[in-house]
Formats: sequence, structure tokens, C-alpha cells
Amino acid sequence: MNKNSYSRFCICLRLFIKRLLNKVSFILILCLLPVLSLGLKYLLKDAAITIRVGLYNEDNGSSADYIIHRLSKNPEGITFREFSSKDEMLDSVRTRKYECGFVFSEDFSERLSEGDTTETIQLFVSPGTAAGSIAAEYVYSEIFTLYAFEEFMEFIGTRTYLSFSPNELSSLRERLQPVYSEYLNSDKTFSFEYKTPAGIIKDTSIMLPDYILGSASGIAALFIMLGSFAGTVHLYRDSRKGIFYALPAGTRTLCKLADIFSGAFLTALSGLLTITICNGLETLPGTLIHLPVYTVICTIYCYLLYKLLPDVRIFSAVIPILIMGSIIFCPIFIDFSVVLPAVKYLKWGFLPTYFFG
Amino acid sequence: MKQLILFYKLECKRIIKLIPHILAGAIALSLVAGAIAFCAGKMIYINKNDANVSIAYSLEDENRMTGMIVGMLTGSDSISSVCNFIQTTEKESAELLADNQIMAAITIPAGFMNSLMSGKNYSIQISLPVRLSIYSIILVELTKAVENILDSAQAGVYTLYDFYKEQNVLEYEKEANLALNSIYLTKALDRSSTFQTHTVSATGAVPVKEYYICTGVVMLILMLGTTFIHTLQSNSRITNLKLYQAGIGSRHIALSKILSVALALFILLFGSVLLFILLNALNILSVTVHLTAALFNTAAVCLCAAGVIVFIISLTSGRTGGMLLLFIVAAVMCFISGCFVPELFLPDVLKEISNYLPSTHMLRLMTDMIQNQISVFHLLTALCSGICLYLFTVLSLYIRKGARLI
Repeated sequence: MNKNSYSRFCICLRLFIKRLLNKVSFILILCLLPVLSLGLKYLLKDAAITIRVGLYNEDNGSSADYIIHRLSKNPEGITFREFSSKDEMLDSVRTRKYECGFVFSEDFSERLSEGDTTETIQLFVSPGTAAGSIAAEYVYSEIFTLYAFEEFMEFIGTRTYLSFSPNELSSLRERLQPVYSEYLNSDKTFSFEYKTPAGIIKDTSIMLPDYILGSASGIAALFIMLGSFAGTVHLYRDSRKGIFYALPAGTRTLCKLADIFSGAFLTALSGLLTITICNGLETLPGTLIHLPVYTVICTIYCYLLYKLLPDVRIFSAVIPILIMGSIIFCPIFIDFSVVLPAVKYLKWGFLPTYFFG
Repeated sequence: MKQLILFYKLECKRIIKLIPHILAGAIALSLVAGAIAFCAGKMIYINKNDANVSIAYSLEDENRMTGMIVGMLTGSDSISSVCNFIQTTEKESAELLADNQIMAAITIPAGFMNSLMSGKNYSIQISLPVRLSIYSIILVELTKAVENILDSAQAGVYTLYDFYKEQNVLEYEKEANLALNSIYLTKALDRSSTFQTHTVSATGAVPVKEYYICTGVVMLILMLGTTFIHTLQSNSRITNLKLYQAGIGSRHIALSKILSVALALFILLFGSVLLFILLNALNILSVTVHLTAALFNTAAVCLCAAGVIVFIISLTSGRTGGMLLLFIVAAVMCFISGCFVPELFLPDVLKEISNYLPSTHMLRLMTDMIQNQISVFHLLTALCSGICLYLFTVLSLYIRKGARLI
């Protein structure tokens, strides 16, 4: 590329960018994504993400009461609420106000003391929710706190080398229950530690907001891709008008690339701001390297499409397909290549993959 | 009146001419999707478990209790129905995680059980990839519940030790410990038998796979607006001036655009439905489609989508701005409606807002169609949505009077 070509390229780029920035609505649209990201970040910071689960007690004993009481105090992301009416709870599940509901059977306490809890709890779920499995694990974990002690008492009562009368067992139960509870509530028990390459996650409640905000990178990559498509649409129109014929043959290609790059560049600036807002300033150095490379790749990709597709209407018709393909095959929200290895190869046909790669 | 009808006919004709272009793109996507389905089908035939995500675990501690911990995790139906567990070394699992071949790596460090006894309390480490996924979130929630189960089992074992020590029968403790652990593990592995699951049918509630097909269709329909931008914004100022002079004002321009786009979308979507019916009749597919339900729901979806597309495009004067704005609005609406992240993980405020969005109405209509149902309430809300969008479009055209109008 000689000096003249380079200067013509810069002039064309400046003019194309100026043309886009002349429209106030375009500038407002560029600012829209960062503003929405800021709003989302603020919303996720203060708003509670709660999965609502209903509980209804038909148990004649006290075990279900104990379990429901403990579940109602659950500090994690799931909120358990006891309903006074089964129909009201089922209606809430049906209308998706509550994700699922549990009903403790009449003989739950009796069956728990016998060590057999088979089908003692009815779980009502609506078809589309994944919350049933998660909530069931929490409910079962509380049942297990009671079951473990019952099973322990049953165990020591049946050892041949230990022989106790029913009265002795009863007084042993009273004496050992506090010991068991003390161990249960002490810190001498299991804990899980979650970590990523960035470090240990001390507060797991931030994981879900971080995951949602992390999707901003994918949205920004899509936005830049769309900016390149918009630049390409301009290129079709400018080519039809014949503005590139005034340029020497050697510079024509560069100036056509500048037409595409103008759209990609401005949306990349918007994308950079969005990613920084959502992911924090610590990601800025990495983003400053990825983004320009990705923008150039988008420009070249769109230029190849421009060469392949003769008409702007055909190109416009392909745009939704490329967007949908990018959402499905690229790891923007879900990485399907973990489940479907074939996607690992197909995703390289869609632009956002190059941003994450 | 004649002029008006002619105008509407011309507008419809202009938009419908774009259908072959859209079909060409749709065929391209179908080929790609078909290739995926073919590969996936081959894989599932070979080994069902290959379709699941993988979690690696490494046991650095050889205590018998650690086997129970792994058993508790792998025995969870919730986890094991979507994950495969593979045993590796710590180094191998770190490499697999970095390579994105596994979803998470669980490490039970050396000296783990002794640390609990001595009070040092090492933690079981769960390593997650750089980019968190929805699988990571669900795994963390499930392991929190499992933690409680393990705590209870361990409390039982500690109580057993103290009791045996008090009774001077410590020589039996090792065997008793094993037996009690085995009982706990058996019970924990059998935990799903505690629950008797009932599905509460509700209008609009469909299984996960069908739900994501509906979200894909809704997103695709909205994105098809980029195909129409070129035609919708092609009128020059002179043309619009002449139309105004002929008595065809903003109301008719807006209505003609919405109806023509809705008609084009309807031809595409309902055409696909008829194709499914044909394939069903030829026994190539086994999909039950109720024609009346499909007709009404498809019409309402297309009307709603057309309203969104035309309104968004009316806000901008340039094609570039229109394309970008349509993408942002469609992406944001679909996000809030739960198309990308499951709705249950969204904040309550967003869940409330989603009830008023056109994308949510479209999603509900699509799920009605899949269930072969007609919900008058959903149809009416979509119609109201369409009318509101029409009024907003007219308002937008009035405000931008004299500018480049659609």
C-alpha cells in the first residue's frame, strides 16, 4: 500500500464516518447499547433474583413443620413460601407465579421415622421450568438432616454388641440429638469452594448477575457484526452510484473496505463502552486488543459477502440468517459445542466466534 | 377510495416481492441446521451420553468418605441427567477445563478428611471455566443443596464416633462407620424416589426444547425486518409529498406498511406450517398441527411482529440506523422475554416488564400454536399490542413530518 493509497483510504474513511455521524439518530443509537448496559448493571445490582417455590403441609406430625420452617429461612436464591391452601399453591404454579410446589403427605413424619420416604412428597411443576430439580435438591437436603439422625438411632438400636431397652433408647435419643445438632451446625463439616481462572468466587450470589452481564460481550460482538453489515449496505448503494469509479483501480478496493469499516468502527466504539461497563475496567486491556482485530475480520468477511452476493436485497435477506446462526452456533449465551461437538466446526463460519476465539 | 386500495395493493406487492430472497436465506439456514441435526442424530445413536456436558472429578484423598461425596454428586438425577462424570487427575482436569472440553472440575484435595478432623477444614474445589455458562450456575445451586446432605451424613458419623467412644466399643467403630456411610449413600442415591412428580398443565407452558424453538422463531421473525428496511425506506420525499397530496396520509402509510409486512411474514410462517402438515400427511414427520389454531396464532404473531418492525424503522431516517435499532430493540425484548436466559433467572422487575412486551405476546402465541390451542386472551393482547404499535408509528410519522418518511 503506497502513500497515496493510504491517504485516499483515510480520506474516504473520514468522509464515510462523517456521513454516518451527520445523523443524530445514528449517534443516539450508538449510545443506546451502553446506556442499556448501565441500566441492566444497576438493575442486577439492586434487584433480587428469586426463584419462588410453594410448600403445603398435610403432615399429621411435626417433621414437615420443621423442614418447612428451615426452608422458609433459606438464604440462597430460592424463596420457599408456605401456602395455607393447596389449591392456591397449585394455581400459583399453574400461572407461573411460582415455579413449582411441594405437598408433604399426611404420613410424612411417620414414614420418615421408619426410614422410608418413598413418594411422601408430591412435586408439582409446569413443563417448561428447570426449577423443579433444583428446588427438590434443597427440600431433600432438609429431609436428610432429620433422616440422618433417625437412621443413626435405628442403626445403634440394632447393633448386637449394644443392647438398649426402648426406654433407654428414648433417653439416648434425647441425649444424642443435641450432639448431632451441634455437629450439623458446626464448621467442622463440608464446604465447597468455587473458583475460576480469575480467582476464588467468595460470593456465589454474584455468579448469575455476572453471567448475564458477561453476555454483553456477545451482544457487543453481534452489534459490531451488524455495524459491518450496515456499512456493506452503504457500499452496495455507493457502488451503484458509481462513486468509486473516480478512484484509481489500486485504491478502489481499499476505499470500498473503508465504507464497510466506517460502520464497524463506530459500532466497535459503542461495543467497547458496553463491554467495559458490564465487565469492568480490568477487562479493558484485553478488549482493546480483541476488538480492533475483530472489527477488521468483520470488514473483510463482509467484503467477501459483497463480492459473492450481487444484489443488496439478497444481502439484506441473508442478514437475519447470519444473526440467528451467530446466536445459535457462537458461545454468546450458551456454548452448544460442549453438548454438540459438530458445532465446534460450524461456529467458525459465523463472525462472533472470532471475537471469543 | 380506489386510489387508496391501489396504494395498499402496491405496498403489499413491493414487500411480497422480497419473499424469494428471504426463502433463499432460510434454505441456507435449513441446510446448516439439517447438517447439525444429522450429526447430532448420528452421535445420539452411537452413545447417548456423548450429548451431555462433562464434569471431571479427581480424588486426591483416598479416605472412604470421599467416595461417598462423589456418590452424592453423581447420584443426583438432576445433575446426572445432563452431565457425564469422568475421573481424571487434577492436572488433566485443569487441561480439559482450559480446553473447554468439560463444564467443571471437582477436586477433593489430599488430606481432606484429616483436615476436617483437625479443624483446618479444606474445601472441595469446584473449578469453573473463564466464561460462566448457565450450566455453571445450575451446578453451583445443586452443589449447595448437596453440601447440606453431606453435612448431615458427616454429623451422623461424628456422633457415632463420640457415642462408641463413650460406650467403650471403639473396636467396632470402623465397621459401623462403613455400614452407616453405606446406608446414607444408598438413601442419598435414591432421593428422587421421595418425590412424586406431577406436571401442572398451563396455557403456554411447553417443554424446554419446544420453548427454545418458539424463541428462535420469534427472534428470526423480528430480525427479518432487516430484509424489509430497504423497501420500507425507499420512498423519496417527493413520493411522500405526492401521496399526501392524494389524501394518503401518515395513517394509511403506516397501516399499509404494517399490513404488507404482516402479510409477507404470514405467507412465510403459515407456508412453513402447511409444509409441516404436508410432511405429516406423507408420514415423513409425525407432528400434529391443528390448522385453525395455526391460522389464528400465526396471523396474530405476524401482525405483532410487523407492528414492531414498522414502528422501529419509522423512528429512523437511514437504513443503517434502522438496522441497528431493530437489532437492539429485538435483542433487548427477546432477552427480557426470557429467550436467551431462562426467565426464572431474571430479576423480578424484568419479569414484570416482560408481560407488556410484544415479544412475550408473540412467544405465548407460538407456544399456543405448538400446543394446538387458541387462547382468546393471548390473541386479544397481541391485537392490542399491534394497535398500540400502529398508533406509535403514526405518531412517529407526524413528528417526523417533512423528513424522510416510510
